[in-house]
Amino acid sequence: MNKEEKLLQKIGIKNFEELLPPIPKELLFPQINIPEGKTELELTEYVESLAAKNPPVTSFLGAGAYDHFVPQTVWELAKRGEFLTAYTPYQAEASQGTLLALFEFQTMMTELFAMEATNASLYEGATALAEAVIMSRRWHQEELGLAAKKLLIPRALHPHYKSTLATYTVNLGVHITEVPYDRKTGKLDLAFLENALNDPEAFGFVAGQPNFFGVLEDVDALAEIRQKTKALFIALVNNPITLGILRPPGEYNADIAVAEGQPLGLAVNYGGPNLGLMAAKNLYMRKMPGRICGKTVDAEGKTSYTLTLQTREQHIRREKATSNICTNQSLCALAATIYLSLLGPKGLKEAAELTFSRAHELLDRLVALKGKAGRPLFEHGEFFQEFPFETQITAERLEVAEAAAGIIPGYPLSRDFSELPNTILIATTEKTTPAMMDQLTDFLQGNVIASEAKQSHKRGPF
Amino acid sequence: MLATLFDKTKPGARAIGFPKGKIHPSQKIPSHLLRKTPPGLPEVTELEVVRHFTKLSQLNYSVDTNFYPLGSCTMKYNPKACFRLAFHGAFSERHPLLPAWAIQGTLKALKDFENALLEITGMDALTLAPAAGAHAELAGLLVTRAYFQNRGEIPQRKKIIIPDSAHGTNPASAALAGFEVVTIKSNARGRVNIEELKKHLNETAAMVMITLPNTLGLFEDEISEIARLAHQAGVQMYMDGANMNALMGIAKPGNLGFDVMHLNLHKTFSVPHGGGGPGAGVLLVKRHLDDFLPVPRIIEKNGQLQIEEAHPKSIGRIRSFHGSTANLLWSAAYVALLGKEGVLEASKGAILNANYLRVLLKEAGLTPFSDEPCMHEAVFTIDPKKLNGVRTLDIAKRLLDFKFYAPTIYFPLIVPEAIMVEPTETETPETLEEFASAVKTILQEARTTPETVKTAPHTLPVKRIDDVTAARNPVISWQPSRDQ
Repeated sequence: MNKEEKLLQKIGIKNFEELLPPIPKELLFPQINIPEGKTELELTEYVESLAAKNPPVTSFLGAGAYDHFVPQTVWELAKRGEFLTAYTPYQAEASQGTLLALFEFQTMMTELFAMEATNASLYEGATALAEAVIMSRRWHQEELGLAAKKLLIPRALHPHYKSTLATYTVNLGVHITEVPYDRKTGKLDLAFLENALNDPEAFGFVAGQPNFFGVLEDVDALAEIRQKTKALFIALVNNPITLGILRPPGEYNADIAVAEGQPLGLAVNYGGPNLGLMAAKNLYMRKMPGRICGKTVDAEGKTSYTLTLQTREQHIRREKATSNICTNQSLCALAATIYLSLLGPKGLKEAAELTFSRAHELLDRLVALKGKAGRPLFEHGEFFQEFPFETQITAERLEVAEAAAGIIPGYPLSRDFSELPNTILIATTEKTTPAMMDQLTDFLQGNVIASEAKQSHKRGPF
Repeated sequence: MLATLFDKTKPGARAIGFPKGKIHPSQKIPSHLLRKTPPGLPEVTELEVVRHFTKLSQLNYSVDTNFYPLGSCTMKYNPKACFRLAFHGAFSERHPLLPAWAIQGTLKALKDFENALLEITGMDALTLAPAAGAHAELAGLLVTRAYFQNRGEIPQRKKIIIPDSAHGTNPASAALAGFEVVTIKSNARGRVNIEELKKHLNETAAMVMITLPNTLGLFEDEISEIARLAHQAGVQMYMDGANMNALMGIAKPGNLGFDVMHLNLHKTFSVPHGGGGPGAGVLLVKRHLDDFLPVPRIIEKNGQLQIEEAHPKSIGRIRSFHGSTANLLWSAAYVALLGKEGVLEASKGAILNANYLRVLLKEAGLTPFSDEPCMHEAVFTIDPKKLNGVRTLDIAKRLLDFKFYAPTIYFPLIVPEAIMVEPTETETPETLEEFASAVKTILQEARTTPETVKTAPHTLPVKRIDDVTAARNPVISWQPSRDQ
């Protein structure tokens, strides 16, 4: 008797079909036109054939995803089956490993952002920002009894974040206004912001540190502006590694801080899985979206950990929940926790300083070429790891040249900012080597374009 | 209980360092923007980090170590071979803003996967962007809203009809999308009450959200009639595909009358759950909703795969970048391993195992919600009055002592003392027999020595945890004064 026969016998039927619901015969067991199943050996052949179509490139892309150094230990530990194949820790007694790690993660977030309330992760940066906006609006409605509808966001905000915010809020009656940036400095137009916040219709304002152009904002001025308004201040930390050297949002009067946590130990992974971070002032704790891990005791008074404040959540509150989020990014939070444990405050500071140094070394080298490679869009040095650079190359020629040279010099800002033609956003991390910088300076001077343009037909898809 | 790394901190200790840069931030950045007090992160050695997290991992139950019959969560084995694609450097180290020519391998893997999912579900178009099931639900609701908006039927169509057995994410997502939620009661057989449903199918309704099979593990056997009635009233049909593990190769949702559906790749398609994510969701629609799907999308143009960033009627983005690509690649590898016969075998195995366990657990003394055959999972109940006051929670905790993770409990909300068991196809009959035998022993204990069950667990690193205190006075981060 084979396995199926044994099971059927016990169930008390003769054929598997007897278990099935009354689905019309013509719809039952439909053809599935996909390839035959592969063995692991065949799978590796398929994988390698695909890998060959992802050629190596030298990349200076940042714009919200950063290829920072990930210590080997991070994923050696995070990939352990006991972490990887556990579910959300509903049975706390059998999930203390995940829960204690999440408690450590939350502690690290409160330390990084210098804020008291936080959660066990959100999906990624753009949705974390959307959640913060919805939370601010609810705070105005439920706690302040106000029906304000206006949200102020920087024009120099990541275009994907803008689009996500619009999608999330379009049916909730939120009106979004863009705050321009100063064309000379790239910084937020504070006078415009302050004036716009005089309108009692505003329930929140967003500012990035640094902003999408990589430029550092005057956070003390933002703190002062918050003092004068009822609108909540949402700080978007562009890269949490910056918090190794930059003032944290808790020190500049932000109500809620959000960030994309990918740089903390996660590969860029063509966009995900990422890690949405959120921290807030203590008073917002019960309005937070997502899972929260809390410390408690067991029946014998021993320290233990459990998911807490669950009455905010969808499985209890249903349509009245603070958010619809259920599955979040636990394993990514674990990886970030391991990453930050390995680096500690000193390592994080060094990673930030080295990244900073690489970006400024690169800019110095480009400037030393006296315009032959182009010129920086802003003259001040108040940026962390990326800066806009106006090149001699048009966007169309750039694409052909990139394919020819195997280099991506940056993110073309003209895609989303029509006022910035031929301008690319160049990013570094601590992994940006002097040899890569040579390649970039060569490329931007047009050397590569002149010598290799002919080959582009052979090599690229163009 | 283990100490936290914060308890072990010794100032100056560290694992990872970096070379010094040439230009210091203080040379360029005004000092008022710089951090004065470093964040209080742990200061420990690499070996301390390794031992700490290795020991933490050992405190967890997981699919790799324990039977994990958590209903509605599809805790199947996650084949290690999938790492070959999901963690391969040629894919993982690719920046999401790379131009199409540099990323053809990734796009090809994703396109093959998209085609497989369209085949399996019988839907016409999809997006791989959602980060999880609830995220896909939200996108599906926004797509539906945009569709009705385009037809001039918003704001009239403002209601989403949801059975009371649904996952909590359904109503939460509907509210977030700006809809009103109408909850309808299930009938005695655990199915949608069609008479009740009819009352709400009119020009104010936008969509009916159905979980198929439903959260009782039962197929909505009148699904075609429900779809017919909904469509007649101009209402869209949504399938919550959290339970798709019961349907692969058995029936295509696209043939059953659904217009929109989502899949949870961390359930049916084997993405490891990671202790609460990252998951990945897929939103699939019929042709008439195609134009409204979120961007970006993978399209084929001039013989090359490309990313389409904008589409005239699209609802826009629902997140940054493309999706949880490493997880999508994991599932792509999983589907490649299963192949055309494997998908049916998986669902068949899930249904067989669930029914086998259903019969074993009934024999062990649990009361099934229904005596009909189930699909991939089954829901049971107990009567605490007949068990000396032992409740479902107690049985769940006692199961941990037998080295089994507990089933989903107190869900669906419509079954008192609910115990929801989903064995999946990857378990052997012997494991299911051992589990049923543990349940039998526990029910025996409930009759003879109920305190043993009521105070369980007894053999885990901690005893029963006090959730109430945690919520009353939340401590969500480590504090030196309290902890030392």
